[in-house]
Amino acid sequence: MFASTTSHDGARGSVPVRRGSASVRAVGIWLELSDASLADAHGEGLIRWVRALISGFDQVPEVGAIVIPCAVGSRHLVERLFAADEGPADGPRTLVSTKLHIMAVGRDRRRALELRAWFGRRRKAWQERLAGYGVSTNPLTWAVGQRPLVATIPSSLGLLLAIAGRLRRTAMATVGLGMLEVLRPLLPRVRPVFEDIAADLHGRTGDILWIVPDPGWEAALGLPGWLVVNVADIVYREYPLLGVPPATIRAHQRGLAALAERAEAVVCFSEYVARRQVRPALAGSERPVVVVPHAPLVTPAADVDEATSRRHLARDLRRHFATSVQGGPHRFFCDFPFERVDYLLVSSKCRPYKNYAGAIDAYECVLRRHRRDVKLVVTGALSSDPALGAELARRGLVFDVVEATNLPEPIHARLLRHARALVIPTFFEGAMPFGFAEAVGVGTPVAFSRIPVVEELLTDAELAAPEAFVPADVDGMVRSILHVLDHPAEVLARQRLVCARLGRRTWADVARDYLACGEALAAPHSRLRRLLGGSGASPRRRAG
Amino acid sequence: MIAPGRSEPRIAVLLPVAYFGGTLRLVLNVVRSFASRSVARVVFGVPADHLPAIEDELAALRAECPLVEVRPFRWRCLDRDAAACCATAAGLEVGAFISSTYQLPADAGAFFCDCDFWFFVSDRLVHPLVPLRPYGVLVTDHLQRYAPGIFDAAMYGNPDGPVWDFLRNVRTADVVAATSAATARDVVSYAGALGHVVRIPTTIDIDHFLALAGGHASAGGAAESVTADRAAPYFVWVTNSSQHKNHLRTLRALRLYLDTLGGALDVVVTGLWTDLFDPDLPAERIGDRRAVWDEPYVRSVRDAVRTTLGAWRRRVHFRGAVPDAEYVGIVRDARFLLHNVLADNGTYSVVEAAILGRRSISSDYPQMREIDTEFGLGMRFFDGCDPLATAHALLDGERLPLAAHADPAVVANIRRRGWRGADEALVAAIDDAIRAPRRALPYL
Repeated sequence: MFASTTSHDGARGSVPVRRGSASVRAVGIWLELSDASLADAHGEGLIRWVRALISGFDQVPEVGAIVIPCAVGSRHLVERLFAADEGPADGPRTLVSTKLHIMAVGRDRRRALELRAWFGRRRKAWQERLAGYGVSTNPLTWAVGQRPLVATIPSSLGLLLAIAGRLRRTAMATVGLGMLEVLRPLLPRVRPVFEDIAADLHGRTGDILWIVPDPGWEAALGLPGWLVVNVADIVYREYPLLGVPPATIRAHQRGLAALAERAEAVVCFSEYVARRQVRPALAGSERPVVVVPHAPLVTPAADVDEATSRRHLARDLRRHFATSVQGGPHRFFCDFPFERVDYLLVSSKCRPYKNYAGAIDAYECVLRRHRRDVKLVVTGALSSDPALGAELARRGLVFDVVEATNLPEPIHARLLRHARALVIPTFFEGAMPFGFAEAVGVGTPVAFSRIPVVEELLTDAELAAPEAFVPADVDGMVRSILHVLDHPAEVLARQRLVCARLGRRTWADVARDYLACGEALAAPHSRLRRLLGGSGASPRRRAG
Repeated sequence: MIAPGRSEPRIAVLLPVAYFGGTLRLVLNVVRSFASRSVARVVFGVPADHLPAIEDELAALRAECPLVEVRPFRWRCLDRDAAACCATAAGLEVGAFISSTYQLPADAGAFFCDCDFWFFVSDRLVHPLVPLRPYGVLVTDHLQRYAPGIFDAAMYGNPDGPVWDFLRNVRTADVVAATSAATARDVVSYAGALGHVVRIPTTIDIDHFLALAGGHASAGGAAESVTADRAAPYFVWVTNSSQHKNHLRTLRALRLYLDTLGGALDVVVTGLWTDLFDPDLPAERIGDRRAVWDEPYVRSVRDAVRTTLGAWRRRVHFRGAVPDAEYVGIVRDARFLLHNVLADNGTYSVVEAAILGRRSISSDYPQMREIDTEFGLGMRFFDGCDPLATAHALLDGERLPLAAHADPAVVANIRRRGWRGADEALVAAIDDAIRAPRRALPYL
């Protein structure tokens, strides 16, 4: 039988997979993410999708083990992503599924990582010291650093001592920084060598179905066993002015072609993406393109009452702006009384096709023309888009549009819970946005754009509701937002019915759809037939 | 009562910048209001440079309230270290100083430290204040939230600039007084005020209004002549040259009213510098206002008068600022009054018109709704962003009833809302702030 430990307990272990069966018994999920990405990935859609999929496999009895391999030094980061709860800062964590094995493989690079981290910390500390004195490593600037002392210390002896102390610290910081720059080339090169990890998995995982969530993760080519690769979208095919460099596009296309060739199936989350993006991109390939739509994400129950939760949200947002954001937003929002304001929420990254420009146009109209006293909280880094950032300043919206980026998931959940409305202004999504069901689940009504993936899943009557709008029509978006603000109960009641209908598909169904690919792989002659045939009640469809 | 256990508590009422007109009247009313209660000594802080320009008003104030001390001051800027010294000396706990420049009102002797409370009658404080004393700010509106064009766009991108610091000073104030419910909401949701927000009732210069009404009544025969059939065939558009007054859309609406809808009335435009909107204004009447004449916005309105109105512009008469008596005559003879702005604290022109028996139509925004309700004016509202809706409202205005006298209910409402009748909420909030231990500020 399969192990039921909460986490894999040895770096050199293997996954206990039953052999000799035609059915897939172990599933692997390949995450080719750097440590920096892993550290920030908690609220990311990808990780939420993986967590949901794990919960689906957890409910499927045929699956005995779910494997996520990672580098030895990254294990704690991966465990944190898939922990059942916050748990202790260090020590073993309870994972979201007892079948889940975080498998640390490859060479141990922790010491090298620690060394690099120490280097980084030391460098930053010295740089900050110099910046604090208002000087640089150039000794000609050091006199400048003494001016504040001269202005504030009246006694000459005290002043002399202070100047001497500051000069000594300045010199030490300068020498230290210089030494670090000299030694930097000698630092061990540490990169997540996923090729090593993939190679190390050979012979240790048995018959396993690997799910590769991103076609750009080419190291998956070296994995043992069967591969199914997700292609959520190829968005640059429809939005060529995204600013993606040609070399990046070509590399993506090469990677996609190679992985599709190696994989047994390509999975999309919507018919639209399969038909309009993936199939044309893989023209000539015989690989089947299978549509496996998401199930709605289940919203965890609220931990505290409304008022307390709201206070916690305000406190956490203030802390967020006080500690992790610099510049104007830090200055303005570090002590802002968030608990006393209403807001609309747009929760998505800042990409041109996410239609933040339209959302801001609509918000401006809602605020200024229709005088709704609400702020707009966005989770995308608008200031990362120079044009958008300048537009906010030009329109004087810098105090009303709140950029709350990189929020930990608990804060994001509260943000969703207390919003007057969630606005989904996007022009395009590869799958039904998770936010829809999540918001409705916590009692927040949604104004959403009618985009192909939404049209695939909602009925005509649901699409005709006043809270749905065409994303290019700003006036329509304004009308929808106003309707949601003015009739939240009516909208919420309607959207709860939508979610109840969508919720008939569960993540176990999604998991079974992936397994169906695996079963097909186990019997190569019938692979295509099985893939095309579906799995009973599953809504999995073949792309047209 | 203000701090009854103390001897002679002092409140400094400070005019932060050189204001004239309505804001000056407002601050004088606040000073009178505090002084009339005999609950505290009032020190009226006036920018030293501004003192000569308002000498007449100050003389009237001294005559009316001899115990009020008028004290000139200048703003003194401080760097972060000096601000920290001052705050510590004043017993104020500050978590972090996040601005680069701070300011203090410096009178001849010190920094109004002989006062127990500082009350600023405007939020236009260009640097964060070092609050050596608990302080309050009177906010008439946060106009920039709805009409951002009143400030240069670059100012919104500069966290060290005044647009940011106006709000910072409201944020850290112990008491914020707002003159309308909508402004009180903005004070919290826009500026993020952390202190006690007090909604003070709309107070008006009752003497000024009643003088208008009395003059009208005493006109006798003139009053009798004000009837529907004898009112002149025009309506009056009261505005000024500021961008938030929504001139361009109003001009489009006028074109629709005069041309498409066949409106019967001419338009008389009054208000400061509105004569500069007239493309045919003789050069000698521009005088020393050349800088205003050349302002891009004023020029764009003039261009719009020429292009949007076309030949219809002969039915639009730009009168500019006129003396009070002439203004009374213009409104009294008009069929109705038009007020069309994007946002502000609301205008009392509509109340003046009501005194003279004239109704008003107004763009729809919360402050004007509030004035309409408070004074019982029965105004007709329209969407100021929609020229066609505005044009239809103008057409409706032709049918509004005229009256020879002010509605007695309106006059009664005006009497109730004079500064002498202001309630005790603000005084009580100031009293609380003086009594309470100083609130620690996490950021300044």
